[in-house]
Amino acid sequence: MDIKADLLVIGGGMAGLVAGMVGAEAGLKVVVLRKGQGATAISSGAVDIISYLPGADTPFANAIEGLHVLSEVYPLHPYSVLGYSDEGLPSDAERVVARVGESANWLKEKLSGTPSALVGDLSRSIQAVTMLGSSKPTSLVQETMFAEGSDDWHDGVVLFAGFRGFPDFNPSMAGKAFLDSRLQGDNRPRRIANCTLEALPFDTPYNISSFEIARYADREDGLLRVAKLLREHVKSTGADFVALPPVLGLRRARANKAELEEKTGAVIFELLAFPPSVPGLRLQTALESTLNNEGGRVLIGHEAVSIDKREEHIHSVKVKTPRRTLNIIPSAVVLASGKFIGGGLRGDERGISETLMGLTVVDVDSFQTKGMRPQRLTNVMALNSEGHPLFGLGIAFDSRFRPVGPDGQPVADNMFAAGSMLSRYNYLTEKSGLGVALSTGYAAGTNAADYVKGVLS
Amino acid sequence: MSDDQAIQAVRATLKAERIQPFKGDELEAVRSVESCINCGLCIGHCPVVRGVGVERFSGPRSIALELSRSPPEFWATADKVYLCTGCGTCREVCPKKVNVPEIVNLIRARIFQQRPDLVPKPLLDVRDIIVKHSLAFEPWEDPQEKAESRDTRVKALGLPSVPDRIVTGADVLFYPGCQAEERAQEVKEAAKYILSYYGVNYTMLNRLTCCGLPSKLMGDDETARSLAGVLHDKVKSLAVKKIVTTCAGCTSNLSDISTRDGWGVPVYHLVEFLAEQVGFDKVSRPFKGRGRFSPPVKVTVHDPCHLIRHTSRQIVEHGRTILNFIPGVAVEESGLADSCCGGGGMVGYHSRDVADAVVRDNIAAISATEADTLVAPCPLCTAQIESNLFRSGSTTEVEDLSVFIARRLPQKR
Repeated sequence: MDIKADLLVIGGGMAGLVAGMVGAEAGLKVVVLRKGQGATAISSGAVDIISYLPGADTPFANAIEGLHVLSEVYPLHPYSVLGYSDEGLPSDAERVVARVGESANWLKEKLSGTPSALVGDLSRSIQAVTMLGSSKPTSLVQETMFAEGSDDWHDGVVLFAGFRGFPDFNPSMAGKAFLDSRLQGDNRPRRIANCTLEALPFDTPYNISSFEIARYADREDGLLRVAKLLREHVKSTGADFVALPPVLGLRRARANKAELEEKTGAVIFELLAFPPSVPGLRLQTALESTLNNEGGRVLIGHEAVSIDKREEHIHSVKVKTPRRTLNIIPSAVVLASGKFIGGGLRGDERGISETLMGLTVVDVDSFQTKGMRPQRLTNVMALNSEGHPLFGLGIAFDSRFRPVGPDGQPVADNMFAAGSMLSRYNYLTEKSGLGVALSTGYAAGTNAADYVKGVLS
Repeated sequence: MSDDQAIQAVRATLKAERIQPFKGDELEAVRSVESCINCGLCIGHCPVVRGVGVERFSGPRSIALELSRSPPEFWATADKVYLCTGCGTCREVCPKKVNVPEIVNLIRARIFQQRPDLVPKPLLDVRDIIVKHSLAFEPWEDPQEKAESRDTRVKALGLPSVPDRIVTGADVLFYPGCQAEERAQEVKEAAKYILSYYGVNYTMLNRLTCCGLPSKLMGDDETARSLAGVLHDKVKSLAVKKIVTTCAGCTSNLSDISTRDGWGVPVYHLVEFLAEQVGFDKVSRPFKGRGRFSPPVKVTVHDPCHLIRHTSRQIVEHGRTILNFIPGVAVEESGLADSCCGGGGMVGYHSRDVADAVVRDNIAAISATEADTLVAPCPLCTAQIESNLFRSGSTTEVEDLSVFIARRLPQKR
C-alpha cells in the first residue's frame, strides 16, 4: 500500500524532526521516517550553536561572535550559507545571526511545555559543567540543566551529589576536577562539597543506570526520598547550588527540579553526561511528540532503502521494516539521515559514501573525497583542537540546501538536505552539532514547504 | 583425506568444542552485531530494564556484546537471556539496527542444544506439549467440551455462529493460531464472521498445527523448523495465494518463514488484510448509513510488538482507521500503547514476576484513560493485559480487535 505525503523527511533526529515540524506548520502532510534513534538521542541534551573556531583553543565569547567570524573565515560553512543573498556569496553575517537566532527562538517556543524546555540564547555562552567536572561552553541547555545565578557564583557553595550504586558519576572526583579547571579569579565558587545519596530504584545498591534513577525520580515516593536525603546534605554543607547527574526524570524533570529546589532551598541543576544520557532521550522524545502535536507523523522503525528518481525529480521512496516493504510518494523530500552514527554516511575500504543515493561526498573545503579511505582522514593525535577531517565530510549542497552532483547542479528539484550529513563544517571541533542540525533543518524544511507550494525562489 | 572426511573431521571437532555453526539464514543477524557502537541507547528504552532494573536484566546492549564471547560460553548468559520478552524495542531505537531479538533466539538455541539443564523447566514442559500435539497448548481432551466452551463465549459476546470452512480452491488460508484455536476461541469465530461478511473465499486447515514461534523462542530450533515444514506442505497442497491470521506473533513468524523458506505466499494480519486487500471503502460500508447505531464506547488501544516492531507500525494505523469507522467508538490513547505487554519471549512461563513488571506502567496508563474497553489485535497480548488489569481492580474490559469489529458488524437475520 502506498502512502502519499506532501513532505517526506528521511531521518528522525534534530534536523529531520525540525524540518518536519516546519512543514507541518506550513500545513503540509508530513511523514518523517525514523529507522532508529541517532546522534540527537545520544547527545548530552544541550544545543550547541558555535563555540570554537576550528583549531582554536579559546572559545568565542558567544555564538553571535562565532557566527560573525565563521561567515568571514568559512564562507562555505552551512551557517554561512544561511547568510547568502539570492545571488549566493558573500555571506551576510547579520543575516546568519538573524536566521540562526530565529530557528533557536522557534525551537525554544516549540519545546516550552515539554520536559526538555530550553533556556539560553545566542548572546550568551553558558558554561555547562559535565559529570567529569570540566566545563563546556554552549548556547542552549534544558531548563533542568541550567543553574540560575551560576554566571557569578564566587560567593556560593556547590554541592556535587551522586547516587550510591550509580557508577557513572563520582561526585568527589568531579568536584575536585571542577575546582582544578577553574583558576582563582575565574568564575569559581567559594567552596565545593560532595555527597552520595542512597536512593535505590530496585533496592540494590549497585549497578544502577541513570534511566532507572530518572524513572525513580518521576515516581512520587522516589522524588520524596531524594528530596529528603538532599535536604540534609544541603543543610549540613550550606550549599547554594546542587549539581546532580542528569537523572531528574524523563517525564516530570522540570516539576521535579522545582520541587527539589523548594524543599532544599538550593538551586538544583543537572550536569552534562556522556551517552546514553537522560536529557538526550528527553530531547528526542520532546521533538517527536511536538511533531505529532503539529499533525506530522513519525513512521518509527521504517528505513528508506531506495529512491525512484525520474528526470531530476524524486518520484517515490521505497521503505522497509523488518518484514514489510512499502512506497511513499512525496511532493518534496528532506534528507536528514545523519552522518556515521545515524547512517547517512558510511566509511569503508572503498571510501566514504552516502548510503541512500550515492550522493557526492566532499570535505570541509568542498573537495571530493572519492575513494579516500577513512584512515587517511584522521590525525595522529586522537584529541586535538584541529579535530579529524573525517568528521567534516558530508554531501555537497547548494545555497538552497539541495544536494548537488559533481557538476554543482541539484540532484533533484524536490530534494533538500539538512543536519550532520551536510559537508563543509566539523561539528566536533566547533561544537556546533545540534545547532547546525536545527538551523539547516529549519531552512531545508522552509525551502521544501515553499517548493510544495510553488513559491521557492 | 577426502573432502567428505575433512568436513566430518571439522564437524566432530566443532561438536567436541560445543560450537554450533550458524545457519545461512542466521548470518544477517549475527553480522548485525558487528555494527553495535556500544552507545547504550537501547538500555534507556528496554521495557524489561524499566520493569526490573539492569541488575536483574542487563539489557539489550549486553546481549549484543555477549556474542563476542566464544560460542561455547553462551550458556553463561542463561540467567539473563531468558528474561528478554523479544519486543524488539532495542532494534527499533538502535542507530545501527542490531538485531538483538534474533540474537536472543540464536543464543537460546545454542543453550538448548548444549546445556538443556539451563533451560527454564516450564519451557521444556511446553516443548513436550508442542512435540506431542504440534500445538502450543494442551488440546481439549473432549471435542464436545471445546465446542461448548466456544458456544458459550460466542453467545456471551453476541457473535453469530459461522461453521468452520474447509474447502479446496480457496484464495486465502485463515490461520487462527494456537491461542485462538484452543483458548480464545471467540477470536477465531470473529475472524470467520468478518471474512465471510466481506465475501472472502477462505479456507481453514483441517487440523491446525503451530507456526513454530514458541519453539523458536525457547531455542528449540529443530522443532520450529520442522513445524514450519509441516505448515509449508499444507499451504502448498491447499494452493492458497494468501494467508490471513488474527495473531500478531503468527503474523510476524509466518511472514518470516514464508520469506526464509520461499513459500511465495504473503502473510497478512486480519486488519492489514482488510485495509489492503478488501479496501477501506468496502470495510467501512456496513458502518455507514441510517440505523447503523451502536452504543457509545470509549476505547483505548494496545499495539502488539509482533505487529509494530517485527512487522510494521502501519498495521496498527489500519486498525485505528477501522475503529474510527465504527459509530459510537471514541479512541483515547494511553500514551503507552506501543509498550510491551510482557507476554512475549515465553518469559511469563518461568518468570511471571518479570512479565508482570513489564506491563505495570501500561496498566497504570490504561486505567488512567478510564476507557470502557481495551482492544488489541492479538489474543496473547489480550490475555496478558486482561489478567493484570483484573488484578489491579480496573473496570476496563479487554477485547481482541477482531472480536470488537465482528460484534459491531450487522448480522443477517
